[in-house]
Amino acid sequence: MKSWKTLKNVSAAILAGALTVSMAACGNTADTTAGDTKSDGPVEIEIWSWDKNGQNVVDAFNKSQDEVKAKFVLQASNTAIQQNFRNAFKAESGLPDYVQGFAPLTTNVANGWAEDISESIKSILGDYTDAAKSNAQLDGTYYGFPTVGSGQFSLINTDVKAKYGVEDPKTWDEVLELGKKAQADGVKVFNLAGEDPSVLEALAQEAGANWFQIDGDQWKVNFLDKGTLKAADVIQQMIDGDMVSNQTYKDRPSLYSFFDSGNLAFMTTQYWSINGYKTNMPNTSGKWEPFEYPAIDDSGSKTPGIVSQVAFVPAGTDRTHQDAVMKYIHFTNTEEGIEAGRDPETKTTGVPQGRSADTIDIDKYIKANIPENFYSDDDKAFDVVKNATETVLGEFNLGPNYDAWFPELQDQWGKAVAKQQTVKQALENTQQFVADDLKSKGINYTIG
Amino acid sequence: MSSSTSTVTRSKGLSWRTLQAMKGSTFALPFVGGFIFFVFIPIGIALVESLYAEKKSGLGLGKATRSFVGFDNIAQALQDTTFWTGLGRVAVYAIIVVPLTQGLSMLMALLIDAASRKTANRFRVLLLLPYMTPGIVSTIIWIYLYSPATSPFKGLGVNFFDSNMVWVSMGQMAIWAGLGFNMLIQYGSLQSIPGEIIEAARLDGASELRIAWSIKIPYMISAVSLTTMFNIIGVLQLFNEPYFFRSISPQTITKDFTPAMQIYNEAFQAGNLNYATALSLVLAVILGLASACVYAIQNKVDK
Repeated sequence: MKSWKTLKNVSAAILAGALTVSMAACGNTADTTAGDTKSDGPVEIEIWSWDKNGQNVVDAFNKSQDEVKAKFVLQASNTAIQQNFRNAFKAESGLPDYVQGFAPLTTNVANGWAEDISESIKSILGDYTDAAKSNAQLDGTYYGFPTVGSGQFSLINTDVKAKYGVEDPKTWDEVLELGKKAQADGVKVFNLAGEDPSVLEALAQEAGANWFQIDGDQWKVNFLDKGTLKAADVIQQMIDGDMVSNQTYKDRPSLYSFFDSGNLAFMTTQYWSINGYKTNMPNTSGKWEPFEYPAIDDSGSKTPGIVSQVAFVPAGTDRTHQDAVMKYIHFTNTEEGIEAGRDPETKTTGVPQGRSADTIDIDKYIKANIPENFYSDDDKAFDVVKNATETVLGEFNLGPNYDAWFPELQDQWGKAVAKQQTVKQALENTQQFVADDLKSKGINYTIG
Repeated sequence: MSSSTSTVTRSKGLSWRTLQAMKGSTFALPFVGGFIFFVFIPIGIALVESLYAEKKSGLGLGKATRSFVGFDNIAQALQDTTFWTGLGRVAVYAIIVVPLTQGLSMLMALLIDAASRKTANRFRVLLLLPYMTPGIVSTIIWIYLYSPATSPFKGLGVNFFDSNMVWVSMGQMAIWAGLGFNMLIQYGSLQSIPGEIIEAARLDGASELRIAWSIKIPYMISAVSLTTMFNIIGVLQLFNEPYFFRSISPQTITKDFTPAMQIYNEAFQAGNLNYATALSLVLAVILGLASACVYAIQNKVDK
């Protein structure tokens, strides 16, 4: 009798536990946004980001006004925020009101993650440059927050430059000329990491390519347009002429060691990589001359910067919460907001990019990001970084299936860099993969 | 009175034995609960997911439409040459790595068993360290050990990051990580050998080598079968090592180099969760068959 009772008690406990869990789940499901609106209190919003200083920004924002109360949820990493968001979205529960970007704009829209914020964002559009605004729109509708890629610029080793008696290469043809000369002495003109096809994307963007474009009710896919083939040709010449090293970014000690050996003539980079170079490349510090990104055609130098992570407001977020998010984002665009995000340990803050020069003094942030004794000329470095920040290109659509095709491009690129195929073949294979993938997903497309 | 009440109660409900058995079975509830929630239900969900596909239309923007496709995903998985090529790769890799891992861990277990208890304890912990090391930490360790710039072995003139060395480099990492765990289980089996058998053999003049060969190794067979099975299951799901080497040697290690990498890519990058689940189920069946083969061989050896 006692045993039966015990069993009944255990069963009841399990059932109660299960019910509690399911009821709790039901409660979350009903709550599709984490924030809540109280009729007489501030609008509550939830911010997801992996920025370790994000809490300080949110605290400063909350202190600066009393209409919106933001809650900051720190995510462990880019991967973590992606997984957590996917889970919350699938469960239709516990979604935030603002998510730091972890995927391209079109991916966010294709997955149904991003809300149309065309109306609510109007209040803060004045904070941004045109390029930044173009990166937040798909077919004229705002699905994300304006942003730009980090503007690329060039560095040349002054010792190598003096040895071969050359000027800063203003075009990629001049880079190739330098590469031919330097190759004879075992000096490489450029580094092509086998896992990183971003240089191909950057050159293609500079040459005017757009791999994905919306054409009515279908995607126009073209990885083999004139601009991309020009970019492929430049890279192919470097590979065929043994002008490049293939240091991987995964093995940083080897990478820095090679870059610092004096055997690398030239590289393209962005401002935030420089502190790492400064710390890990003592032998060549002070010997890197900055200048604009080389031109790929007669139209002159352009600054590539492809955006693959766009912040957004999750689908289903109501207008009240959208407006509250806009207030928060506007705050982050002010000097007060940027200062609040200053790293307390390193005392540094990034260069606010894609922000309108009318609203913010970008110069002081650029100056703060020029480390001492890394560039051969700090004044020139300031001008170059400023130019890269202000002229970075926008609009390079990565299509509705970027997550699927980018790993394929990495595979194809790795084979091209290892001379197992040409860069053009890599592009052809990737385009074929894109076509097959879009077809399998039922998405309309046309090639060319 | 009380006796008759008890008889009545029992005749109405369950027998005393059944009640006792049920009471005993409650001890297994935590495991059963975990098994149901974390194994049984996910397998059920996976089965259901594999029967559906998600399709989009037009520009493919917004949520996809979910439709029932029956066993289409499974059929596609069975005909997927990329999957079978990947499986072939890991099978060849297993043929080399599994015997090597088992042989080395047996050797380690026998050596530790032959040492004094104090020495054995020290080495047991040391050998188990790689198994206890978190994946991310061991990855950093191996980057430094293999890196042409920082490797303590760079004087040997071997580039462990070279595409021709990828298999060897991955094998080393895998054996290093698995050796301690296998050794521990095998060492445990050696502890169950009755002392008098070893003593009798010594009195009969058997050398340590002969004792190891004729007494200890036969006693280890069950444990070795078990560790071999774990090892085969682990190797067929090879992911960490090739994933790490994908950046180092992308021309060799593609995104779908092994079945586990293909499943990961389909599920979490390409977004084809339904197809990824179908691939997972096919891989699970293959793992089940491989395990059954190991058991069948073990039974044959035992007889």
